Amino acid sequence: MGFAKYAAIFRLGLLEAMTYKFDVIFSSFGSLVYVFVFIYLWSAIYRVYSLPGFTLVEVLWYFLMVQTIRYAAGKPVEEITRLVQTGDIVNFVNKPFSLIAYQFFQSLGKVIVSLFSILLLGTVLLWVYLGPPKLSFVFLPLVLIAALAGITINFLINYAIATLAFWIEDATPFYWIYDKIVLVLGGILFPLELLPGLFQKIALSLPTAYYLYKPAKLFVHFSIQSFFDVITIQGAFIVVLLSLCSLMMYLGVRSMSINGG
Amino acid sequence: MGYGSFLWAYAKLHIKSAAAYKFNFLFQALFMMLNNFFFLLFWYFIFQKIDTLNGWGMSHLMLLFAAGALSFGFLSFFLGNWRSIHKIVSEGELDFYLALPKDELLHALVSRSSFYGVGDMAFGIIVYLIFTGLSFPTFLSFLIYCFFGAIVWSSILVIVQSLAFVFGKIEGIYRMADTISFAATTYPYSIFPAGLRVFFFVIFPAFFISNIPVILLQGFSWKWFLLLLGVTIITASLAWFLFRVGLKRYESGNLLTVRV
Repeated sequence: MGFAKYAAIFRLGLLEAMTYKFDVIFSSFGSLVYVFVFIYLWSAIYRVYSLPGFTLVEVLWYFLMVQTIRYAAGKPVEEITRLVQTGDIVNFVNKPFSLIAYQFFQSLGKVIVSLFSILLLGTVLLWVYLGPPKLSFVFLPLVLIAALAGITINFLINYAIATLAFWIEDATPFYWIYDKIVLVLGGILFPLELLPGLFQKIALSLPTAYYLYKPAKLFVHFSIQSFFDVITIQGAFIVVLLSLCSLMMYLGVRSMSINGG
Repeated sequence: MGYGSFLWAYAKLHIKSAAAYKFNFLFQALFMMLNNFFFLLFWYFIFQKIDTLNGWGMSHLMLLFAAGALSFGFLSFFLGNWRSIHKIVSEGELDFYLALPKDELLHALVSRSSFYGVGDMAFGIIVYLIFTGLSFPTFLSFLIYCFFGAIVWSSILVIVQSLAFVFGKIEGIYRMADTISFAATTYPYSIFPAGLRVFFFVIFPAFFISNIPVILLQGFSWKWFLLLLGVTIITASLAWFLFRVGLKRYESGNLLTVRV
């Protein structure tokens, strides 16, 4: 049965996302608020300073892709932490599937619906403000593959953080720190070209750069070589993080005690 | 028990709860301060490349963030349910407050506290002191402006969350309003065009949360102070009124809630 069960889980998640598609689409508008703000913020910055390697138009399309990936990715840590804290996780540990894979494929449907709706609405927004896009959308499917790989990296990091709840009850503060690392060193607030020398080197070596910055930069500066470089390193991070999550789940479940009542 | 005693009793309860769970409290507060520090790094890196942003220097942006953090922290610690009213309404948890003698909105707002709010408040005050100095009258003014800003912020979100009485689950609408209020609080008004400034000053007065306190700190003017006071009173009154109107539509879900 192998992968078929996860395909079924994904299908159910997709159907659920499509059932509540207006809720997903409406939430997508919220994700575009910061794109809207960045249009004005970076227009003001570009009056006095130009980011190396980016025109103003490219930087704004970069931010659209960053916000698209970020909001589509959601906050998996919340659901996973809830399962651990409430003890509902016991309903899953005796099932014949990997909980990590179950959570991932269940959320993938909503991720895909969000990805397309935010990108579509954001393209309309930037089209209105900047005119027709000068980017080529021919390679968009490849960029979306890199985006999904980035979302997978984020999911696994969220999962690893959430499993800390097995030991410390509330892992939320660790998630805050991760979220802020992504904010500054992951490329949400600015492309990593803005960072000075050593900071930039550190940021580019972290998995967070391959979650948002690299896929978003691929969107504005695409090349086949860059795509393969990015996807290879994303694959390596996914393998390492998946191993880490599996180990933490194993150790966590072993140490788990359930509060009865 | 008057409302003053009622609010003070809840404030004492939250402080005692923080003292009882010391490790958890310090952990959350310190991590929130660290969390906020990363936001400041953004402006630090930007101002390594530019001197001013539409007339605002780095110190102004830092004060903007400090004002926002202080207001947010105050609300999170003392009015901990300020961002949860829509869930309380849509999930039938309002029943608990209906049976009690105090105003339902106020009771719902103060009945929860988040420890990380102290981290935000401490962060706001530290950043203020670093960039403004130790003048007591100015510091007192800062606290007053931020208090008004906090009331405006919570009132705006209560107005939006009152839509839960009509539409039930309004997570999408609420998140958009929440995001918009954060955006207007953490970025200077000077980057926005005239049309959006009118929106954020008149229709969705989020600029009064932190932008106006910073303007007042740069140079006091009665015009801006009275506007801040006026907007505080109007938004708070409107929030309370709309909540009462919505409450008339509320139907109990017979949900059994346990308060421990």
